[in-house]
Amino acid sequence: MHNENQHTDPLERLFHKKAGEFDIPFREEDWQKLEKQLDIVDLRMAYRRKIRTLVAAAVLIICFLGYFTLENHNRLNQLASQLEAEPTEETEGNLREDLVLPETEPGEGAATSLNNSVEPVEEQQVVAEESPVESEPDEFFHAETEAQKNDLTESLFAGRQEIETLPMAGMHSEMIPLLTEESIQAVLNYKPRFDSVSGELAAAYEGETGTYASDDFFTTEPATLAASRFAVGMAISPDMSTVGRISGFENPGYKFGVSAEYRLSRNLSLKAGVLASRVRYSAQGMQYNPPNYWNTGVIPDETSAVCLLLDIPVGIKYNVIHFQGSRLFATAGLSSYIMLNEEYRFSYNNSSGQYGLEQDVSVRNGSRHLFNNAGFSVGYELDIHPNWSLRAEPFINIPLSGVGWGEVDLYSIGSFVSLNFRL
Amino acid sequence: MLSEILKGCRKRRRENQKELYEMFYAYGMSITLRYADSRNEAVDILNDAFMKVFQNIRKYNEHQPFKPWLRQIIVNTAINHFHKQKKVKAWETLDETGAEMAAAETIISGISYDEIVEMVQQLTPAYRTVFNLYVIEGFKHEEIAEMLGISVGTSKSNLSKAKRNLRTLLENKLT
Repeated sequence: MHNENQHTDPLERLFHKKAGEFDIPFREEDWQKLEKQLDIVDLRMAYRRKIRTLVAAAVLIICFLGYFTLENHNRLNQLASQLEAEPTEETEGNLREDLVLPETEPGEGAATSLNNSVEPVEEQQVVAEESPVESEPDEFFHAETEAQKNDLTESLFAGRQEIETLPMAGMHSEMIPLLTEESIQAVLNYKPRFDSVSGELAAAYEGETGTYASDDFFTTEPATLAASRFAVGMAISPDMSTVGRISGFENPGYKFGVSAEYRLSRNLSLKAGVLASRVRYSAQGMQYNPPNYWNTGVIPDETSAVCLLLDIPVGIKYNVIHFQGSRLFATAGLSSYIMLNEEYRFSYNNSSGQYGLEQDVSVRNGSRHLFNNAGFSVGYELDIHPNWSLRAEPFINIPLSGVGWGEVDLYSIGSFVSLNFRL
Repeated sequence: MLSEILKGCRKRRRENQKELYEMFYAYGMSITLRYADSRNEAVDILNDAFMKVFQNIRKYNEHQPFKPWLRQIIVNTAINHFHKQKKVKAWETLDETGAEMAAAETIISGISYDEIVEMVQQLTPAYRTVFNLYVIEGFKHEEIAEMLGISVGTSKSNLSKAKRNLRTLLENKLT
């Protein structure tokens, strides 16, 4: 600024002096005009708060669902592990005497009876060849022929005494009370997943390694699924972005990248990814918030933008419904943006005033916006191979805060198609 | 007192926002009246400026005086308004009339603020803006040129023409 005392022109001195001698009374109607604008802004902020609350609620609900699923799964795993727990090395003092089986020859058909009242069993019943103390604790599970397995199964239902005649030598006495009819029925009906029980148990049930029946809700996974909880994928999607509202989309951009997934339970997974995204959108004047005093305070009437950014989503995936070799899922999460390149072109309605005003701006400052967008999607996953799957996943991203040089509220929709590999 | 009001404005309390508006209403209007064509337009400019103040209140540095910060926002808003509402036709009209003024300058000390504002409002937006920025706000021509997107020569020319027209208006008022 120049020195205000150097107004040598009397006219300048007059106007400069008089400018400070104002006496302007306050008018209430002027405040009411401003108040209406403030009400609109407050409504917009309340809407944003609602969106954030909904996002948080959705994430919480999915977390709770996942937690209860995990708990349920853990309980079933516990039950299965109790049944398959290997007995420790036996000592004479640990065994109940009535469980010690006498030595018999295979095929003799003699009952291995714990007390003399038991009737002889069929010839092909598996009996201990060696002393019960020395016999293998999991002999039942290593039955070699189907006939042997069937006989064993039948004998399980013949009552407790028949149960007690089985070659359960080596099992601790505290395990016996668990082997009631109900518990054994539950075990026989339960078809555990491949990753929760040993391969031997699976083989004993079905005769084939890793194959499961598919006759109920819990057993529709395909055969020979990989045991790893990790999966990686490549995804691509068109990107329709807009500012300030979920409509008014213009030229599409794209997203492509990689993702990684860690399965916490059958239904719940954690997801993360890195996507390169090309975003195109237009915005009206007041939807932009450029840096203070940029362009001498003049806001363009319309701005067109083409931005290249890195989209880093993290979230959770929940399998809602399982089918035969496929499933429906939903995801919720938060995205962070790293702006790689921003190009803006400005237009002004009053063309005569454009001289000297900014026409375009290119920004490459790598600005970071952590968790600025909430993302939701629902999708369908199809297993095309035990280790590979295809997904179609429509999504929507909702802004939680402004991004980029203009701090715009960026909405995006699209649909990912991804190929995923279970490690 | 002001710090308490500003604290409430940061929390978007309506009563504090109204207090701030009332406190600086007259000061703000004294600026916007000189840039606007009419009082209604001056109110619109002032309200736009206060919207920016409330939206950016968190960026205000409490250790700096508030009035200059407010003034800067009001002036920038007025310039933005000038760019949007520029009336080329009116500019050309006044330029075409090109009334010549007497060489002798007359100082009129009894003229009121309202009359001053009335005369300034009769100028075209381009002349008025340059005149306000140079004479009242105290900017240099180089700064005015950058702010308005014009050349330094145009800024000086507009100031000269603004003063010429104001002298004409003053003379008309006296006669």
